[in-house]
Amino acid sequence: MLVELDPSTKKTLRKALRNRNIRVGGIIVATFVLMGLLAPFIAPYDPTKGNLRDSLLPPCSKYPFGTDFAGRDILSRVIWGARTSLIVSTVSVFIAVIAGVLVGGLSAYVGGWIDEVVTRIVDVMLSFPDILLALFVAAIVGPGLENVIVAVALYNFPQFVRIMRGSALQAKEMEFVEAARAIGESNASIFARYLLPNSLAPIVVHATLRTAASILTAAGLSFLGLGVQPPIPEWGQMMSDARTYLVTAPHVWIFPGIALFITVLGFNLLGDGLNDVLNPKMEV
Amino acid sequence: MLLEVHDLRVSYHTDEGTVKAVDSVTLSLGRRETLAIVGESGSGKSTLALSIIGLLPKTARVDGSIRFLNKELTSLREEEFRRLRGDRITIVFQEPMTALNPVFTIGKFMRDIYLTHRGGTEKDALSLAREWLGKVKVPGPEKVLSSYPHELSGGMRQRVLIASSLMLEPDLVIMDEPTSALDVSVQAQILRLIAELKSQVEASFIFITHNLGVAAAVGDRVAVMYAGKIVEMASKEEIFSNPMHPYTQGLLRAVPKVSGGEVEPIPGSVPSLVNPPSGCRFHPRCPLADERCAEEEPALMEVGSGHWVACHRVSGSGRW
Amino acid sequence: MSDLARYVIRRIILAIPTLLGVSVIVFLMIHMLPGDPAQLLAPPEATIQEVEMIRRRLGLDKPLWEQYLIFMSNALKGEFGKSLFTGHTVSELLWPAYLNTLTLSVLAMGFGLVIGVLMGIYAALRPNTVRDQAVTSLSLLGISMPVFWLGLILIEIFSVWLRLLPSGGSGTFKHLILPSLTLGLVGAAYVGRATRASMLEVLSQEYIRTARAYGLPDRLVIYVYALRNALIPVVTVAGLIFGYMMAGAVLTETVFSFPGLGRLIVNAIFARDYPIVQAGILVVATTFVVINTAVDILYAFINPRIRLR
Repeated sequence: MLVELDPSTKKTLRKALRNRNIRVGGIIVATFVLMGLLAPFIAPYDPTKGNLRDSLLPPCSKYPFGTDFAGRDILSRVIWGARTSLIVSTVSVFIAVIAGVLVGGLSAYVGGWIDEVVTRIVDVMLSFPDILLALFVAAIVGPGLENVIVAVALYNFPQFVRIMRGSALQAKEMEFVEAARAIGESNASIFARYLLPNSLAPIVVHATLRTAASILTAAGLSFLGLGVQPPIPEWGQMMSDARTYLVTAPHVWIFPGIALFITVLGFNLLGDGLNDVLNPKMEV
Repeated sequence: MLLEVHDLRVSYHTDEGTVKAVDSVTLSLGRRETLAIVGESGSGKSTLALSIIGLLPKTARVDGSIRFLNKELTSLREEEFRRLRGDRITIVFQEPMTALNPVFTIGKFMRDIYLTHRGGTEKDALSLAREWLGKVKVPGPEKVLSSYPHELSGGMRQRVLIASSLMLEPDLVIMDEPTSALDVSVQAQILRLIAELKSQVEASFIFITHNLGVAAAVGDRVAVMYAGKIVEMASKEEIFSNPMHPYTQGLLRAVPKVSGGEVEPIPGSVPSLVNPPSGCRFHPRCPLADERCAEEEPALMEVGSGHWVACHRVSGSGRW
Repeated sequence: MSDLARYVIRRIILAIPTLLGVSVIVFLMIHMLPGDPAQLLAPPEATIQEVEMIRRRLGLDKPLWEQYLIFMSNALKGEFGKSLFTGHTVSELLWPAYLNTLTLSVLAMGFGLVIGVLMGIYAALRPNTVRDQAVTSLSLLGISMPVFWLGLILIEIFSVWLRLLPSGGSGTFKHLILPSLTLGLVGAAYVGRATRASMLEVLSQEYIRTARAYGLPDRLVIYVYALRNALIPVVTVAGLIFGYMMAGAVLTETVFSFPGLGRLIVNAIFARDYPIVQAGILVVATTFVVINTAVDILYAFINPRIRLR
């Protein structure tokens, strides 16, 4: 490696690699990401085209996970579904992190009535529990891939405002920030040099955990029919007519469910592990 | 003898290595006697206290012997030990602010102690608790019984804990820096209270402090600990008039005097207990140290009646 | 006035701006939708004259703030207008569904709390042993479980294979078991994690050492001295989880064809029956705020320290 890491980073890295949650979660997440990226190359069939003569076949050698009612290969749809989940979750969390960091950080740094207003708005947004905020947004913007991204990003946004605001408030009180201000360092520079790095650990941990929650929420919306629409393969949407096939063809909903479950588990494991490594004070 | 500790060693395994928190400590305590144990933080004095009352973490390894009321405590079954705790042996910790359960009243705590060890009725329990709160000079014992810890000051809480520790007339009371966390003015009051109570009860006391002045005020005998070992032990008078170990002498110079004058701190700091210095553990900080001190560990030897010292310079200098 | 009374009143007052904010957002929904609100609130077959009539009747020609005041005064009376399609008033549809969802959530909460707290204590008493790891892993599995998928699996097991319980519908207690178990198991995972963490934290506190130092038996120390403290943060988590259940009910109700509020909202979104969507979302969010306020107040009763703040 050409980049020389400083000793504390190295130590954290070594700790991270020894953490079992990070290792298992990391492998799952890496598999999920690779599946999403390489879907066109590894999926045996076109996920959108089916052969009606092969409708609802149980798992067999030709279709390891069976086929759905349109005769589409479920394995291929599960693989392509990773791509959909990957896009929705990473883009929406990314938007929420950027917006949350800016709004939360500035709010804490500026203080006064602006901070008061931001805090109130965040409180109001957090009064819509869990999937309800995303549902509300979906009701306004309607279904579709882009709209799910918007809905899930909005659902994550207040969380990141709150975290960023909290840790920025803490950092603001620290002596080196006061010192930097005293010697006339610009606000932007203080924000970038002190407030942001100090908040990085909780943001990273939370972004990982929120990715897990976002995958679940996006899948939930699609399961309800308010998210990603067919024929785009999406795990939640693949399960949306599961009730019809409870007795006749459970493979239709079992496989996308397993994929969804394991992926979410991977992000949760990774998030927990990162929390142990990056926030040692939280360790028991 | 009420308590006999013989060759006690307590160690923990940590990531950095084995910590020998208490190393070959031998001491004894008679009835109605008070032994003050003095040392800096990290000298092992609190570990010693916890090992006597059996509250060491499960990861600790204990060797040697602790005999109390003719029972060997190091091999006592946990259930039997539990019955001793709070009844025959009690302890008052340093930090009164966190030592009481925040969601229960003082009355509930004291009542539970009584009912656990004595059985009997709630009424008996509360009346004894009330009586003892009076003895520790808490204003309005009745009101204190129904108070939550956060409604009381640190000094009041420590009085509550002292009352709880004496209420069942134990044989041995351990006080682990009971005044260190309090305001200076309150410290003096609590010390006076302890001195008064000592004459009223039958118990023996082990009083742990980092302040030699406090030790002299309450102790009949004083043991000085350094890096897990007792380096000097003698009667209170002897320690003050004839301190022999260079560490004790240093501690004496570090006691703030009423008359003012310079306080001389001992240079250097307490050594690591994972990898303690060779020979005499004090030698890196000792003004008198020579080669022998760095190589050979001095034994604790009786140099006068009841006066024990572990120092080559004392035994070797031929002062006795 | 006692500290406690003052705290309770302050906490209630604090909830008011939040509730107002929620109502503003829900009210604005109809204006955030693309298109003319009057058109959106009119039946699809309405003529231009009828749309204008609706505009005037609902006050949609008035300034926004006046419209909000009308919306709020109606909402406070429990009136949310009429469903655009079914001919029922919104209240007629809303309250029975709400009651169903509330029953479901309370039952699920019961499952969640009992299973979760027991699991948490069980793990915390032997930290870092096999049984602790088993509980920790199980909770993580529960948290990662898509609630609708779990519901489907339970249906497959209990309805399709064992034929013990109905796979959907409502009416009898039997219909409630699977949906509430589904929600409750996920809730238990969260409660279990919170209880474990909090119990471990409490067991390392000095006052626990003091209790042991005075020879109090383990039973008393763990189940009274420690648990009472450990449950304090769990109560807050439980409030949040109740909100999660009210919202998560949307998915569970769909899986079990359970006629609850979530199902009503989703169907209304599909039908573009916006008065129902507004009323439904307002009611769930309000319930969530009210429950969290109640939890904070409960918190003050079990935690004497907080009354000072």
